[in-house]
Amino acid sequence: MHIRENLTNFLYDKNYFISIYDNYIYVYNYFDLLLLTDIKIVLKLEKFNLTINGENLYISKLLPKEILIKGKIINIGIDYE
Amino acid sequence: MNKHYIWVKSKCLDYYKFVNRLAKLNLKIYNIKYVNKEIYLKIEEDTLAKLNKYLVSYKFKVVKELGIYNFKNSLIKYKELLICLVIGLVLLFICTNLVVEVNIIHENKEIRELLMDELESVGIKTLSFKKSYNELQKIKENILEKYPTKIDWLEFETDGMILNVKVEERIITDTTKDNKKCNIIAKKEGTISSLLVSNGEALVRPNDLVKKGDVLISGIVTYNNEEKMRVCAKGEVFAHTWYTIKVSIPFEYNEYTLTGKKKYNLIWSNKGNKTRIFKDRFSSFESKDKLLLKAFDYELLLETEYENNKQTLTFTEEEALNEGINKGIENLKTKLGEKDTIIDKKVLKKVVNDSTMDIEIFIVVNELISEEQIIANEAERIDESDMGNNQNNTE
Repeated sequence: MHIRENLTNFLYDKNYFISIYDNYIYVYNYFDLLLLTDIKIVLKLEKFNLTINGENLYISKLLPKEILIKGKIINIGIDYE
Repeated sequence: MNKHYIWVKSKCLDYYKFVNRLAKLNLKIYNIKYVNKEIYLKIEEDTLAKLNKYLVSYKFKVVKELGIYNFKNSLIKYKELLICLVIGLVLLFICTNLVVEVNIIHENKEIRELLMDELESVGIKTLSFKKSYNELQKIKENILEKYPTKIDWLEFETDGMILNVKVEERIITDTTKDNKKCNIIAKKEGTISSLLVSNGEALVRPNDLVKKGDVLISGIVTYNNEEKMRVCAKGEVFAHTWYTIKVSIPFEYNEYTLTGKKKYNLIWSNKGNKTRIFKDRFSSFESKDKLLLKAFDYELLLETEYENNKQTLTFTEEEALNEGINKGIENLKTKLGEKDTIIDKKVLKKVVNDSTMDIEIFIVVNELISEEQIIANEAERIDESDMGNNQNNTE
């Protein structure tokens, strides 16, 4: 009966994942949004912070575990604390 | 169960400040748009309460509901239009399926009435719903089976809301009619005034006195006292006949004169049954009706009531006598045929009472007294030949 949950567990078997496309970036299982500006967004994940630099950055979808960031992405960096 | 998604909006001067605060609330925001200093959020309906609770400085307003709720809202918003549409569809259905008039196309009143009764018994009447093609065919077959000697052909034709019934009467020609042999006899006593013979042999002449049942034109044609042939005699025989009529005339009579006053009233009529809507205001009046509205079998008429005065007048003896003679003649005319004429009248007796006058009038009429009668032997012969045919058929 838990087909949906089982399928989700099968597909999302990682602790997190980050999908990068031309004009947007999708992050699954982020912990917190640390900084949000139009040129820089910093997300806290389990073991590191994800820094996204770009222009006209904005958030299109904001769920407790998921976030979809749109805008012109210039670079992405990982900062292990 | 489907989630109830809504779009909400609020004024927002700093997008990034707002989204930072929003991220701290750990809410489900399915879409975020920022247009002209206004932030639009696609959220679940439950989330709106949390937004209002934690982001007090922002005034959120529901812009649009999604899914089934949007459809439900649209129904509520356009309910007047939808009600009108439904009523319109119902009316259209009624108009396309209702029969407002059943029109039986035939010159014979008997056939029309017969068919009308039959159709009414199967539910085809004014203000009834139309029958399907198959039902009409079945009704048609039943009627044709029920009246094989009266109805030859029947067809239903729908013209809008009118049902036309085309019918052909079955005419069975009587083959024995042409072969019948008959005499022309007198149907009452009188003195022959004129006769016109088109077939047969005349047995009477003008000024002959005939009694009821006398043969006037014989169907048996003879020559030198020998029977040559038998035909059906045809002709018209007029005779002077006499009537004695008793009339009683009262000396007093009522005369009505119009006063010039008139009033209007409305009449509701249903199949000839008239009902006045307002009470009559004249004690005595004459009226004329004018049709205002007509719908199906119902009519609304405008009645003009002309007041009249009743006056009681008295005849002189001479006037009463003339009135009595005229009345007697009128009564007699109702009993006479179209070709009959009154040629003379005479008062036999006149008795004047206190309030009435009794008159006895003798009237002479030039009357058509001829009537057809089958020759006795011939009638027996026709009966015998019919019986013989029947026996042959049974064999």
